[in-house]
Amino acid sequence: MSTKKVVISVQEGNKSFKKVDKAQANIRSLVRNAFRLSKQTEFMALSDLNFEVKEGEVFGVVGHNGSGKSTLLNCIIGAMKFDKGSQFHAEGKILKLSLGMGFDPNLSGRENIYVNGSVIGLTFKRIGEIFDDIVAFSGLEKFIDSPVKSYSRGMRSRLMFAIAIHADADIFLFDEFFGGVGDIEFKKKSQDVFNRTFLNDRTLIIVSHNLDVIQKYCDRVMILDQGKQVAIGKPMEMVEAYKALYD
Amino acid sequence: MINKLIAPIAARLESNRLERIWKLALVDFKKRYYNDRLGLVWALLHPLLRIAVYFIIFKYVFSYRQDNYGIFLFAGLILWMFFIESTKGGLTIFRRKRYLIESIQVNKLDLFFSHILGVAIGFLFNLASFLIIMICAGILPSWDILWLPSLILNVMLLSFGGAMILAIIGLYFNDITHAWDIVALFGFWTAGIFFRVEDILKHFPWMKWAHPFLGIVHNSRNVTMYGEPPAWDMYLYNWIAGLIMVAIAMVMYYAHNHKVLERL
Repeated sequence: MSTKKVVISVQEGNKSFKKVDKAQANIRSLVRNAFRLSKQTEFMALSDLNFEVKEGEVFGVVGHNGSGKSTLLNCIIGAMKFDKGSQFHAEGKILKLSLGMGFDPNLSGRENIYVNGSVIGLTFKRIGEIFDDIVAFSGLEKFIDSPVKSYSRGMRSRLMFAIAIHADADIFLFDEFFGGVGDIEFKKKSQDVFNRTFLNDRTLIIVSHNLDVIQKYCDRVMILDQGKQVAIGKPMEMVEAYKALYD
Repeated sequence: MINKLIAPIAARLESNRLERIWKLALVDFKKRYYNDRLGLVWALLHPLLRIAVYFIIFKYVFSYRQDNYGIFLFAGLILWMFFIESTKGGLTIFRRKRYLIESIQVNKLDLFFSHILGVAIGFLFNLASFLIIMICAGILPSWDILWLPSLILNVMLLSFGGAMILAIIGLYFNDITHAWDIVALFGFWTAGIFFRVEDILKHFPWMKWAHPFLGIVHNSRNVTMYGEPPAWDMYLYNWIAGLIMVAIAMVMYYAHNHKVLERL
């Protein structure tokens, strides 16, 4: 039995959202509905989750769109709160990374490297030191001063990946981090770097639709369906169970 | 240059937070003029042209009598513009910075700090033009101008608190954008920017306590163009108003900041 300490623990984890019609978000409807606020519909994005992640473990989460995967990551990182009554505990610095989204499209690649690098905890000095490596790794030397809105999805992904590998945290949450990262050559290069950088006794939670990735990297996998925890187990078994669930 | 100043402080604090706030502020400021042909020149031109328009209307159309009316306008208008730009920007801050909130977890308080700092960079351009024009007009500042930074800090407090309060309210009521436009319009015409504060208080004495900007505009003129110290009662009141506003904003922020992603 593993003696490694638990770094993330969720017990009876629930997360509900109040469903507000767009029309209610203005003063007129608010006044009209002032005495009928209790009629707001509520839906459970996450219901009764119970799991633990241990130090150094790679934990996968699979599920269809709308199954609650991103909500779960947002709750773990503290951007959202689990409902009252849920027990949640996390230890260490947590960082969420997702590909191709954290850029301001109007800024150049260079500016975005500094903004993103800074947000993931790097000092300007450190960013200056690794700047050339980031640009070279992403293969964007000729475009680094062009606005990111002129980049293709693949170019954005490559740049984000090149920045993210320099992030420092105890626990990494990857939200579709592996989606469409460049051509075959870049995929191989990024895989090597990923293995060296992240699979080095770090705790990872990987959310992905890519079942090959889940099977390849994860120690355990949880299946989510409509916010409910269907099962937790070994990757191979869970991938089969997940496929069977939607067949 | 500022990067070089911030780096050793950041190293001492073992945190890159100051650098991050500064970078986000700089990016915010640059983005405002990114696609304009004249670029940063607009940071100087915009307030000057605006003041020129008001000057022509009030001096020549309405024949308002006031010595050095251009400077008189300038002293009040730049501080008001700082406040309005900050609060209006606050209303959209979560939407504009969604890419940081959603994908990479960023401390949302830093977004407000950097936003106010970004507006402050633009304000410094305005302030420099104001002081140059004032000196060119033959008004030399006295030692009382040393009170000006504290007035600016006061405006920053009000702006920071206002931006945050509006951003939080905006999460729940979209209409706040329109409502704030009207409140800001009322505030603009009653802040004593175009008229002597004493004239406004003569008709509406209660405004002294209802409108913090009356005191700020009055004191800004006192310490710059009139070479006098601030009116202490208004100075103190404005600081208390600023601190209360920030306190309310912080309470609201800590109670609701985890709702940002849900509401966006």
